Amino acid sequence: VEHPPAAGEAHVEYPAGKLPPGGRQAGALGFIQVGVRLVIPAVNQREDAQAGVPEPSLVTQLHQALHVAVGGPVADPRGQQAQPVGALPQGGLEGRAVGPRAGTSPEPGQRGAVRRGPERPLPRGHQHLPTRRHVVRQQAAAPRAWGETQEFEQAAELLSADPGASTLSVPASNTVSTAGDGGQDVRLELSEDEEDREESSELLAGQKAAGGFWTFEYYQSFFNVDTVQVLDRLKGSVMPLPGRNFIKNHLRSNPDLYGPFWICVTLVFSVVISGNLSTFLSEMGNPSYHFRPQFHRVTVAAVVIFMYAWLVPVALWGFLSWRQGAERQIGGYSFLETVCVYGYSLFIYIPTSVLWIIPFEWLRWTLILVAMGISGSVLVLTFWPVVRGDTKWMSVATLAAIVALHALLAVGCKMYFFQTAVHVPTPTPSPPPLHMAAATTPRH
Amino acid sequence: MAASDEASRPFAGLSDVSISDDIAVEGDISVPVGPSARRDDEFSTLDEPVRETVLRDLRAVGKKFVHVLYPKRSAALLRDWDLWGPLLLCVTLALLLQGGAADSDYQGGPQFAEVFVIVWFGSIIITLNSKLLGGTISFFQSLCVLGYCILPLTAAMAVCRIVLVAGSGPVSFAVRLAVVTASFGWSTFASTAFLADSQPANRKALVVYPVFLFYFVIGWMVLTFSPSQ
Repeated sequence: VEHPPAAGEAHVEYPAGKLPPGGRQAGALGFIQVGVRLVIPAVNQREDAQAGVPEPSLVTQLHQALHVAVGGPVADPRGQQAQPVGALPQGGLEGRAVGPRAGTSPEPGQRGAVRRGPERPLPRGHQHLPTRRHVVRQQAAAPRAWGETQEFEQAAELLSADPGASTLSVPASNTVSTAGDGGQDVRLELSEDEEDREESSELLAGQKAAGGFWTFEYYQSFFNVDTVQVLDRLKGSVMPLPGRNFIKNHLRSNPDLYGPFWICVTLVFSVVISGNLSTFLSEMGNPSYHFRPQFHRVTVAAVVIFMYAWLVPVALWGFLSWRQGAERQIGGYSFLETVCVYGYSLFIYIPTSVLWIIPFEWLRWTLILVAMGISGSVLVLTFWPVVRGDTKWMSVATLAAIVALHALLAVGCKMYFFQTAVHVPTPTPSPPPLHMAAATTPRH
Repeated sequence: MAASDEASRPFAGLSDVSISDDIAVEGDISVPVGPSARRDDEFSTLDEPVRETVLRDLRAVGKKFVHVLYPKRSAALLRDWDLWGPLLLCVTLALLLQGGAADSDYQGGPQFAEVFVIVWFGSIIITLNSKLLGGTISFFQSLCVLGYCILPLTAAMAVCRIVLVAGSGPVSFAVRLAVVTASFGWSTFASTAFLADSQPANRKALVVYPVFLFYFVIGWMVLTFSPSQ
């Protein structure tokens, strides 16, 4: 954490990294410029990045810096404070969008609208950098002209310095209750971590969690995807590139439940149907064989796959949250994002299960290895940044557990649904064991 | 009306509201009803013969069957939705899927209840899916459309059973495959013709895919039906 005490510099704290030059987003600036005259030439030169900030002292530092840098009050006719949220270096730009949503404009009295416009892809050459989560609490006192202008100046500074930030608009007279704080605390988020996002979205009527969980709109917010977005996420799940985090690249703070749910359903039916077909093909030469649809397998497959796709993310998310709470680690994905990445990672198994119809054992095992490699690496690449901060032993163990469970699912499905013909008539149906990786499975 | 009048009498504003035509009233309440013949029927359905009552609903169901068989964008299926047709079709399909290879329950085709569960819960889930994605169709209208569009597959099931009586060799399989594929395509096309308009434009594929999957699964159940020997 660096604190270069330069006079005249606003102590705007960023994690290490250079800010991208230029590249303003029209939406963000338009938002800021409403009613504000931006006259801060010094901001454009401010390219330094500093990491970390102690919470209470930022305010005084900002006051000092602004007093020196600005040199005069700026009129704020709207009485509204616009603060950039999540001002970040290049590495952190991914998760934060800028500017108001199309069609919205800041209004006085608009409460806690979190502006999250369309996400921007990282500019070329920029990398993901670890971001440090911190929260800046700013005591917004009773609106006096100077305080408001200070906030505006600071906001303008932060935003001009990093156009990739998303902005948070809070009317001056209203209060945004942060975690337990009363008064007029305004929460400045300077990180893109999902925890912040999630907490803020719970507290503010933002993009997610509109309404209570008993309203329909709450669940509609989980299906806020277009066809092209779903296709893009499917592509991302089968092409894991090192350095590309599925959650950051493809989800971009808009996790959906459409993909995981329908991928699971499709996988259930594809596994059952392909298994049925493979059994049929392997028995075709057998005159005494009578084709059976084996419909009970649908129930078995549905139970197994849905339990995997929903319980394992719950367990993983809980575990990671617990580890972060204990170790004060950075990052962390929300529950929805974990479910989402697991759901999409199952997509590769759908074509794999169809290809399993081909009755060659070596081919089936090769396909399993390929599919496990691809989807396992998607999962590993996604969760590596989160567990990396943990002790080496724990992070390796976590990743190994993720991969092992994934492998268990794949192998279990293959062994149960795609048995090569061992023609043993079984008059008594026995319910299959859930742990299906046993070498000797009863023939059904 | 004078403002003071309105203010003084609590229900003053209601005196010039006529009860809408959609509300069917029975009994001796004298209310102004619309002059359409349908209203007159409903007004006195108590006295009509039972045959008339039953036939009215059957005619409505039959009309919708015709709409499904010749799918074009008509509002009739959506406006006057009913669930009799889906129920009839589901029961017929489930009954036709019985009597399959049943030397053991676990080896055979779907049980009666399984067909019901798949059809009805599948329709409900697809309807929820389309509503969550922002569709404007109502819940029961969507159930109605999805249920009625099972008609081609039920017809294919009947054809398959007839073909299977003749024999179950590869020829019959090829015929059955062709029939089931054609009817699956027909079902999907018919239901998307009715449903597609109510979806936002950039999510149509997201809504159509579950419908495709639904009819695909039903088609697979129809195709893999193998009679007991």
